[in-house]
Amino acid sequence: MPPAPRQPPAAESDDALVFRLAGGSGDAMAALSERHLASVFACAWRILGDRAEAEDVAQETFVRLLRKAPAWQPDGPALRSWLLRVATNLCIDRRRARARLVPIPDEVEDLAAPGDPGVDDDLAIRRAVHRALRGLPERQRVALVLVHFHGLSGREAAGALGTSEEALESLLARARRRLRKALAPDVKNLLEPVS
Amino acid sequence: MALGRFAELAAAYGADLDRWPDAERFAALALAGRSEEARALLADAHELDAALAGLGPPPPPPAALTARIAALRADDAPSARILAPLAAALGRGAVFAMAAAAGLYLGLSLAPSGTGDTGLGLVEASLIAGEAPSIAVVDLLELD
Repeated sequence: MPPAPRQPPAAESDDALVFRLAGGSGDAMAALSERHLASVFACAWRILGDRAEAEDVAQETFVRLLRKAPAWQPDGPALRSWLLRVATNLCIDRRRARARLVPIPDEVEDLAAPGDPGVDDDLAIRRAVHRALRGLPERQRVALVLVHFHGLSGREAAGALGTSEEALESLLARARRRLRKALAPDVKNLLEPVS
Repeated sequence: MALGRFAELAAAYGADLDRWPDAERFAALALAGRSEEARALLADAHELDAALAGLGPPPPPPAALTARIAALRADDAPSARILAPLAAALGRGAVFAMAAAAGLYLGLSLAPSGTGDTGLGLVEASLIAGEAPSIAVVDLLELD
């Protein structure tokens, strides 16, 4: 009787993969990066606005996971939240270091292929939003990126920023007010914020 | 939920109630169901949400980065080689104590006089999380 076809294993939890990573498993890091790298890279890119810098931050974030793995606590923060928190801190460190040297270039120009239908309008809005995000103070930008774009809860984002949930709400509200004001000239139907 | 609190949450989290704090979402939904003013606040917040959606998706991580990370091994993180046997032999307490000592040293040596409790509080928060404070957190020690 031929052997029954092997069933694909049920998806391992993040915690199980981290424990395997700590034990030296060769494929655990590949599985973890497949799950979380896109999110970590996107978060870094949105905060830094530069792909090369975001690559560095993403790689360093996973190196830190490798260091953390032997002491990983499954009852602690969710892995995704922990990774975004580490990436955020690395971005803040990097922005502060870079701000003393040269401004980080704006990459949005090469985000869309010219000539695509509708690309001009889309690209104009994209540029406007990108520019408005870049104009936010650092902590407001990070708060918005974590909560609005990456779905972290207020508590998780507050933890990443080392602040209270109440202070995080204030950061978010100020960020959104500034964005509305900045985007009003470029985006239809976006009225001036209600005071 | 009072309309004032609803307005604060809409101003901070936008129109998608999935982003709102779990503990307040049900009450917010109930208020939105019976208050036209609450619905107007959501509609107002939705305009900015829609504008932010115009940013589009982020670029995907480059394949070379994916390959580099997938190939990371313990040899690439020297402290893992050191901490792993320690953690196994002594338990998490020893690692935490080491991190706490390092963090306390950083906090005390880098904080200028008159910084107040805020900076040390951040260091403490990092230590509670089981991590040495980042440079960003340490930087905050230098701010009033």
